[in-house]
Amino acid sequence: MTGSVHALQLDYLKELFNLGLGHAAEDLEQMLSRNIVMTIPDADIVPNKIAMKRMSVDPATQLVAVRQTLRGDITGEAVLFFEEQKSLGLVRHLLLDGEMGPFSELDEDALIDVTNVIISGINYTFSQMLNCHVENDIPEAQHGTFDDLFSRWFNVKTSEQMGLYLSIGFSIQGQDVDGRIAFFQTLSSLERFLGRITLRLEEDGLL
Amino acid sequence: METLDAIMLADDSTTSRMMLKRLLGQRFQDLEVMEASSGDEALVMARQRLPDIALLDFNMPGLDGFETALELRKLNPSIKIVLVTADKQSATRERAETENINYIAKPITDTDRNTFCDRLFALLDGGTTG
Repeated sequence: MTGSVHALQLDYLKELFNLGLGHAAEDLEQMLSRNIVMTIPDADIVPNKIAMKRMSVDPATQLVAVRQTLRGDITGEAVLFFEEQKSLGLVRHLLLDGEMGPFSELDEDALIDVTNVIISGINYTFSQMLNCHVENDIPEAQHGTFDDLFSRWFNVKTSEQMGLYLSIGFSIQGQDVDGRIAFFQTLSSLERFLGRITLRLEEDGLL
Repeated sequence: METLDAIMLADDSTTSRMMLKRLLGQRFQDLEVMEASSGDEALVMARQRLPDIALLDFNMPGLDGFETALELRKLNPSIKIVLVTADKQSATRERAETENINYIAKPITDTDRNTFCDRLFALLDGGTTG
């Protein structure tokens, strides 16, 4: 499968992700009154365990991962990773609360809201550009180190399975908060997704 | 502005460059389109051949669009620069305005495509950013 994936399709996927986060960043900027700085997107078709390593998250740091399942014409798992301690700064800013106590349920709700804005922005872009319909399930927050989360999500077999990995990082200017969004998709779902991208590229005269 | 020799497209997305090149090619058959996949590559190319206009992505590996614009202006103070970016935040638009850089938001949608060149040249001829 890897060999048959056209470089242009992956390039277009990265651009879609970039456009999607760009769309979400406009909303987040209004929500937070802060500029959102994005990194360069990364996209590849690799085993899940390699995908997780590519995110360069410190394996010992305590994280909050907000995970959301995508359904419809595009299926997969979108995950936002935040460092738990740093994410409190973002949450307290959102909640207009200066107190930096332990992570609470309210903090978790605020991070889920931020995730919703980001994933909805990305889904909106996917659906507009690829003329398809994508729905999100309710996001779910999980806590743990990177290794904890990995072992919860993947067993020995699925960690070796190939899939689409799309990732982009972001930070909030003026605050020590950064996060990483990753999108995982199994090969069977990916074929349908790539089919839509091929169609789009053909319509644009690029293939 | 409708007479044009060379235009620089700097964007790390191949498909974005292809799309812009295609749109420009539909209007200007003899136009030389210089393609760079980063700001640094754009500068190397501009030292060989100065473009009249540069269409720059903002979020690129190495130099970003604003940094590239600054360096291109050192090479050619009269170069016309347009930031073509997915970053639609007001902070980015305001920075472009402050630095006298025109701004076009991505994506260039199906409906935008027919009018892209008109919008581009309206901007470069002194229109508002958009």
